[in-house]
Amino acid sequence: MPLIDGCIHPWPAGDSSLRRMALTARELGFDQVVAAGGSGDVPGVLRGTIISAPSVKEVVSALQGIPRGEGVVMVTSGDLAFNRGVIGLRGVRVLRGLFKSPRGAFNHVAAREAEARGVAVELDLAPIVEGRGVQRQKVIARYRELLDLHRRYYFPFTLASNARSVLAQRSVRDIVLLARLFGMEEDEVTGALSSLDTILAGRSPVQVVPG
Amino acid sequence: MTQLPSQRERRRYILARFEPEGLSPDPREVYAAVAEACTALWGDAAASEISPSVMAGEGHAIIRCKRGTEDRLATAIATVTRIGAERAALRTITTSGTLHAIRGRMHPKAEILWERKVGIGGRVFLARGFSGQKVDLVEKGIKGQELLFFADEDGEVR
Repeated sequence: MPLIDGCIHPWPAGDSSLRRMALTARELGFDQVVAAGGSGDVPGVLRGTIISAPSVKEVVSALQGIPRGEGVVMVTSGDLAFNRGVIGLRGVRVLRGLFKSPRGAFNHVAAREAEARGVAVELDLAPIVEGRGVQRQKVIARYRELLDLHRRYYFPFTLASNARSVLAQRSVRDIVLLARLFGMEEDEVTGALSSLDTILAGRSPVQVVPG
Repeated sequence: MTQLPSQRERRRYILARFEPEGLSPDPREVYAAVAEACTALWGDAAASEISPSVMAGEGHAIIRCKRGTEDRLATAIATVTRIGAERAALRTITTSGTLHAIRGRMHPKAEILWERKVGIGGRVFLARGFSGQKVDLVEKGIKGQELLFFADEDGEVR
């Protein structure tokens, strides 16, 4: 299963070109990256689109501008009603930024729906790497809650560096260690890093294997 | 009085590479960055248990800790984003119980293969080519030094 960094932001949003970030990702143990922005056709890069909108209606109109099946559509999360609405939309692959959403914005109902629709929840590692003090503690606590829901309802996770520079990209080994901070085991990390491959292929994240 | 090797405290050594290429910061600044990262992530008590110390050389740092704390140190190293005033990353290469084994894994400092001036968006940068198709662009302005990271095949640096 290919290991995929869930989101990077190359030049001009960041200080590193898409090619350079793809080279660095390969050095750090990844097979693919999802790039929100950047130009050029680069091997090992999946195109990503981020939709940040205040209402589900505006997400729907933004989705109409994206050809179906093209790249990875990621929507920035909001409150519970917004998140449930977004999870139900065709074409949405990832719900991102849940650490910024209000408490209760992703509950067991949303978790069940995400599992049924094959929508992943992104765990952004940037606030863990760059944050300090209370801000980082809150993010770790939030990810622990999400991990608890994940273990009960099996919705997919993605792990993203959200790097805007090669200096912010981290290796697979580093990500395993960082994910341990909120209690994620190594096999769960591997599963999260390769979940996009399953989602994009349209396979169910949980497969029944005959005994 | 010297201790027998078997009675000495067990240590582990982590070899890490500096990024960007060619960065060779002052070892004291590397220590300050690692110690801050350990304290911020694990707290004072755990940082004293890890007890990191740093030997920095050309392009590399060797960071020593007490045995059993190397994973916690490696996690803290992953959260280093600045060394002194410079934006930087420490890439962990390997962990070992002896300095001898660590030194065997050190690579020579990245060499600059070529240099030329390039213009991007009306600004002039000094482009430096490194092995592995990497090109670092440095703009020296009055507000300090801006760094961009590109690759050989990017249209901007051709």
